[in-house]
Amino acid sequence: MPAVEETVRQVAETANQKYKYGFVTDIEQERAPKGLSEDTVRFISAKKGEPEWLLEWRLQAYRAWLEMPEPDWAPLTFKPIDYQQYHYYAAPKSDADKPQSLDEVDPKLLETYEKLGIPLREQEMLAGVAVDAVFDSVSVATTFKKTLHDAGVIFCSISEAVREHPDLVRKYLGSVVPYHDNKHACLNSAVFTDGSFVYIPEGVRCPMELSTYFRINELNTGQFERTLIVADKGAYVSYLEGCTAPMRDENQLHAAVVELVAHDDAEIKYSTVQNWYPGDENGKGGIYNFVTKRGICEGRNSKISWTQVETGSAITWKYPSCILKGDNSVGEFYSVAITNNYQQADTGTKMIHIGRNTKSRIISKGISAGKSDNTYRGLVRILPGADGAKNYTQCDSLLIGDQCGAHTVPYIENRNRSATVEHEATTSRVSEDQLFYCRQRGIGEEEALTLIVNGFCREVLQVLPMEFAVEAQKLVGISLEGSVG
Amino acid sequence: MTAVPTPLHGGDARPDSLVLVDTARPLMEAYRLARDTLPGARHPTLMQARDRAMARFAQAGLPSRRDEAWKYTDLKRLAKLVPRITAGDQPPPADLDDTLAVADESLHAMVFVDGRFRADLSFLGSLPDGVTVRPLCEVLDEDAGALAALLNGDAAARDGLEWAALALITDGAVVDLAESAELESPLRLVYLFSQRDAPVLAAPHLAVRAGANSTVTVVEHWAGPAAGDAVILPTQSIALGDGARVRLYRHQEGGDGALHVARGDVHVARDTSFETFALTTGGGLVRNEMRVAIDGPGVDVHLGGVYLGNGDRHVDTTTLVQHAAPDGVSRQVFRGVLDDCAHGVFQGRVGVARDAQRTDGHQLSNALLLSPKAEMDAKPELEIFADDVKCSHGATTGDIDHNALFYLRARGIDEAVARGLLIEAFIGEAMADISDEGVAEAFADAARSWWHTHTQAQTAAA
Repeated sequence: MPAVEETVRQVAETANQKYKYGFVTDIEQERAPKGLSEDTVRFISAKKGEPEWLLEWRLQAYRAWLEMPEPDWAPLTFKPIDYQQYHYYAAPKSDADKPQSLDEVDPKLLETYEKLGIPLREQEMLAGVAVDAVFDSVSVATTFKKTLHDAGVIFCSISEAVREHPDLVRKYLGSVVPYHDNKHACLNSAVFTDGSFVYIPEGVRCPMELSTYFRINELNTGQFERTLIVADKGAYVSYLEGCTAPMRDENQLHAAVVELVAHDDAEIKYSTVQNWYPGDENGKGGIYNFVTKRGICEGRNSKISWTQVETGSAITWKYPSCILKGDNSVGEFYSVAITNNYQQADTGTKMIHIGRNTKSRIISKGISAGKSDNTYRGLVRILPGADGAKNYTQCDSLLIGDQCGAHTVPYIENRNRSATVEHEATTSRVSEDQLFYCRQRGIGEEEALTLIVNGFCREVLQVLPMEFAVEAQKLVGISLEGSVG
Repeated sequence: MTAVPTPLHGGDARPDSLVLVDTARPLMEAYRLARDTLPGARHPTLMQARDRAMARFAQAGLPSRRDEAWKYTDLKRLAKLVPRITAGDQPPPADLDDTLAVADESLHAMVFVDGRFRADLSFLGSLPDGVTVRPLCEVLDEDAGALAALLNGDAAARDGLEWAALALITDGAVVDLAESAELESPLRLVYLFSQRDAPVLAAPHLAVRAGANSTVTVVEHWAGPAAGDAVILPTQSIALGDGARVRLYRHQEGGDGALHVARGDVHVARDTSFETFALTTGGGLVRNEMRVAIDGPGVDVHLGGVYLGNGDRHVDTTTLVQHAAPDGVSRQVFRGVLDDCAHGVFQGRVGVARDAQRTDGHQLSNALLLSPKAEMDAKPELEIFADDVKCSHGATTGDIDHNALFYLRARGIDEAVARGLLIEAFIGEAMADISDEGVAEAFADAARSWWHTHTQAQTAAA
């Protein structure tokens, strides 16, 4: 079992639970002044050379943000966020003369990526993955442009898309998550600095898995990515998102927005491994992760699938959702959320069934250890027109230790009699028998736990793309370290 | 404070507080008019406590759908009614005999009209040693302290409507069981309503204090008014001593005018067994809220219910089972059949505290939607802080299984009968948890008769 050996090795390497990716790259940054005001919004928009309509949209969002209360449904405890103490824009200095190829990229940046384990250079040959790496807020390099270009796929930073494909961006930006959706989405709409834009034209199957690695680097720079993926009729794309961040003591704010649009017969698969700095074992530091992710199955027979492995962040607040508007459309949500120490996770999904014969499937695995709290919060809503709609939901929680909490809060609303809605949830702990069985065969306690937890999460991990599956299994081990014995 | 509390923020009220006062006004007015006729009216301390509870209601107003606990149940209908508390001295409806037929085998029945105890209609035969069953008005005449603890609780622990229900308590039954006392045949509580033009307001209370190792079964029969409106706000406080066994059954029927919001607070101690089951076949808006606090180890709690909806009936089942002690077992099974424009709601929460190790908590909600306009909302919650537990919940909604229907029709059973059979089977699975055979049979009959009446009305309409 190579995966297990790998995990074992990984666990040993990170013996004192030192955050593997906790290093800081020292590169001069061009920053917006601290704080948030209309001026900040205008500064960002001007920096990006954006058209008037986008600036207006940002300002509308900013004004909505001022009015809107913080969402309070999640029982999270944290100090109120002081929005004025963050920088809302930071770009690597060499912004003016962007590198034309990898050779021109600041070697320090490349070094950072190497530490992160992104084989940017080798990927062209090895992984078959195009990487649009976001280093803080500005895209630095996008590889595999040619292959994608030949296929007609647009994969670029959102800033570039605003310049190169303004009609597409204008048509879809905010169409799934409007700027006034919630306070965090308002903030993102007002100050988003970068992110990815993907457009798969009609009938095209994206020739490779698309991947973006986000990385928060500069001290006190909240990151506000905006991702927009549009799959036109009959198109297919698989998108991977992975996150690591350097070790910091101050809480860093992150409010991303992801919008997916799937037209007739299109399919979007969106996978995330989220491994941001969770804070230390005393609950100090860590990322505040407030994310709004939503996809709309606009067309008939379309499909959107969310897969997430959430192991990092001090606070995770995230509900990747599907609006199943097209007839026969399918929404899926597969999630593993692991919390340890003082982490808090409030995550789940919304499946809104509008079209006929729409189907959704929710598999959520929550693992709590240490003094953490892990909540599944989900909504399944079947509207009157959704004849023949089907939903299946399974939420399992695993508790490790007696100081943590596991909660399940599903909302199930059915307004159509021909719809079938099924929901199951269980909560249990790691069985002593299973642990004993493993120990008896000479497997150490932590390895045994990792093995069992990986088994518990199997249904979700197996739907991850290959590259992520391996990483995710390692993460399970790292995240749970120190929770037994 | 002797008079009715005046609305807060008098003339300079902000717009939203005006709304609050408005939703509270009808019940406050009903209270003001009937205050001096309520049980225990001659005890100033008790009346002050009632006033205080009413003031809390005035402050909070009616819960709205913005309150998480009322997300799926809208009390707008209540805000529009102007109900009155009656003296309960009207003659009971002519069909009383039918209603009491349920109680035939029993010698212990208390009858209430408009929420007021009626000694002339009740028959409390000789009760075994250690068992006392008395109307609340009689208890309060002697000891006003009986309600004080209830009315002086923490303001934040209850919502506005519940404070109103407590302040308004029109009468009730007080059941006391000494250690090891046992009431073999069930105690019947029959709630009747007089026919009036103005809506009736009734807020009866049930107090059960079951001493150690005592046993009692209580069956409530709510024959809501067949026509006309009624606001029914029952409250219960039930305490089980170590090893006690209490069973509490409820059948709600009546016309669409009944707005029935029942709240029950149950405290169970070590090694107790508590079982409750609610059958709802009538009423316009019904909410059965039951909160069970498991304070001692080794308890066995069963909550169950079947709600049958036609017309635009709204039935809300809200439960909160809080395990605070180890080795507890709690089971909840609720099933609903919703036709026409009926709306079902299930909100259940199982909480397991850090010390409640080895808890076994299960919760199940199943609903059948029979019409395109029927609706079901479910919110089964688990809140778990102990690691060595087995907790689960399940929730389903959907139509009758078409394969099962086809199977029966293929065997020559016509569709109406086949549907009836399948629905009976569906309900029957939940009713199987009723441990009292007499009640189980009576409830099964009541459910069958609901289906029969309902389908006949449908056929007639067609």
